Order: sequence, then C-alpha cells, then structure tokens
Amino acid sequence: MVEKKKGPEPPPNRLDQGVLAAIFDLYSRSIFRYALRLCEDPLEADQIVGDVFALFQKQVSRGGGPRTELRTYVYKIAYRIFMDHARERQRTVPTGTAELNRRRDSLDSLGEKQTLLEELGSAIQKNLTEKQKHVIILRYQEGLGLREIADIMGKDINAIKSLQKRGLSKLQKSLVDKP
Amino acid sequence: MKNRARITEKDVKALLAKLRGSQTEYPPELLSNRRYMFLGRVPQAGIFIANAEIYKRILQGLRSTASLVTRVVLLSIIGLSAAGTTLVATNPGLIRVFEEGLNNIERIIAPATPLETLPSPPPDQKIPTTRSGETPTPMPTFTLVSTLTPSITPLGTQTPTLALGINPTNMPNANPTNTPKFNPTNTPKDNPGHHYGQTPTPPGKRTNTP
Repeated sequence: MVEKKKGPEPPPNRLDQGVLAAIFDLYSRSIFRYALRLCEDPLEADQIVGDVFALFQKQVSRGGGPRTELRTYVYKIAYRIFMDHARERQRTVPTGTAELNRRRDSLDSLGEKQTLLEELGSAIQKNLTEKQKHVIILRYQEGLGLREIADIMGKDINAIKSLQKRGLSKLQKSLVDKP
Repeated sequence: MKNRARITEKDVKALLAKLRGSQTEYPPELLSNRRYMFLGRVPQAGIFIANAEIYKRILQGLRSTASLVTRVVLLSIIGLSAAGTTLVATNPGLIRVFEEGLNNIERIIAPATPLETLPSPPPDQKIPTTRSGETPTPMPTFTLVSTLTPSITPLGTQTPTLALGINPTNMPNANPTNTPKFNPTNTPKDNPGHHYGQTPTPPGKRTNTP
C-alpha cells in the first residue's frame, strides 16, 4: 500500500486585523461626513459607518471586495445602503425628514437669519432628487471624480454629468428664487 | 455679497467648496466605539479571503516593474485610491501599518512551495528501436493549450473558464488509406450527372447510340 504523502498545507488567505483597522481609519471619517450630509444626524451617520464596514468585511470574506479602487468600493457600499434607506423612507412614514423639516421651520419661524451656506445646505436636502444629492455631495463635498462617482452609482459617466448639471442648476435656482 | 439674482453655477460651486470646509468631524467617542465594534467582529487571525489570487496577480505584476513602482503606487494598486494614499503618505503610522499589511498579504498569498516541474529527459537519450530495427512511429501527440481565465463575478465567486486548444498539425488520421481526401477547394472537372434528367446511363444500355 502506497502511503499518500501529505503535501504542505496551502497557505491561508487572510487579511489581518492591522490592515482592516487601517482601512477603517482611512475611510470611516469620510464615510461619516458623507452620511452626515445626507441624513444630518450624527447617530444615524455613525450607524451607517458601522453598516458600511460590516458589509465590507462580509464581502471581503466572501471573496468579494475591491477589484481596483478601495475608496470607490467603500463609497459604493455606503451609496447602496443610502439608496436602500431612501426606498424604505418612500415606503414608510418619513419620520426623519419630517423631524428635520420641523426643525428648519421652527428656525425660520424664529426669524433666524440664514446664511447663504445654510440655505445651500438646506437646498441640497430639500430640492434635489436622491441621485442628484449623491452626485453633488460626492463631487463637491467629498471631492470624488466623475468616473469614481459613476462607478459608485453604477451609472454611465454622461448620466452623472447630467445629474450634476441638473443638480447645480436647481441649487442655483433655489438660491436665486429665495425671498 | 453678490446680488442673489446674479448667482451663477460657478458661484454655487464655490459655495459648495466652502460648505465642504465647514464639515463636521466624527465625534471621537462615536468613532472609537465604532472602531472597537468593527474590529471586535474581526477574529484575531484576520479574515480569510477567497480571492487572494487577485492580490497575488496584482503583486506578481508589480514585481516585474518593482524598481519603477513607488510605495505610493504600490499602495494605490493594491486598492487605495490617490486621495487615500496621500492620506497614508502623510501619516507615518499608517504607512507602517499598510506596509506590514502588504508584506503580510504578499507572504500569505505567495505559494508555499514552487510549482512542480517535470524533469526533462537527458539530451543523449535515444528513442528505443523495435526488433526489426525500425524506429516506431511516434504516437500522435495532442497539444493542449489551456488558458485559465478567471472571470470575477460581482459577488466575488471566481469562475474559471478553461479554453482548450488542440494543435491541428498533430491530429492523428483515423484511417489514412481508406478515407478519401476531401479538398473543398477542388472544383469538379466534369459533370457527375447528378442533376435531374441528366443521370448518365451505362454504355450497354444506351438506345440512341449514333
């Protein structure tokens, strides 16, 4: 009987904690800012950061993970989470948005003078569509390129340009028309 | 401040840039809690990745041009984008962590043993002859060209596609003497008569011989 020789065990394929911690340190802040701009609630933004990295870890351990760009990949996860939340909000009572609007209205009713920047921030939330909002925030506040945004949102670059153009003109209009 | 009616798209872009500067930072206590929770999910041994081949190929591709590739580009190709690498480059702590991580990945995914290679026969070895002294016809050999092209699906499952190519010059002829050779480029010289009403009759049976 020929005894089968045991070969050396295949090398384990793993990413250690140090790398994952570094990835977290690198992107958690920017994802938080991105989330905060969209939801305007630090606790919710923090929760989203948690969801993003949990999903990232899950994807990587399943054999997914980034192919080329890590940053785009992390933002893509965040974008998908936001879109899911947005769909959920459309289906259910928009409690978060209602609360936010109430807060704004109360500020307005108090006669507090808003600066142009605040108006702009408000216009981003109120006047833009969900996709325009993402494009404007990713482009002008996160500083991502059009190609990266197209990759994150899974769209053609021309579609992103169009969303950006429409978003900017809406913002301009809202600032001009503001009484 | 400019008159509101004159606000252009350019002004909106400038305002957006200003808005970028007034960003809220991640509250430190929330950040540290979140980090602790995230790393708590990761086992001490790290997480096992099924697609280490990708990292391996990236690194193997890099080795050939290693002299030209700076650390930043290396980090960029392994996954960090330009902005990310700038951040890493400005943070020595992160550089160290990433270098450790990279070395770790490289060490882990490098094959533990070199690929087995078949020993080639010595050059003076002759093909054994038969009793009658004739050299036997060598067995037809197939050249199988296998190209393993891993295609990555979005879910990360690796689906290798195996393309087999058979070298036609070494194809054996099953019955070389009995099988007529067919040359599709040959044009018929005479009409075989396989047309309606033109079937040739044998010479003995012809009735209208002149």
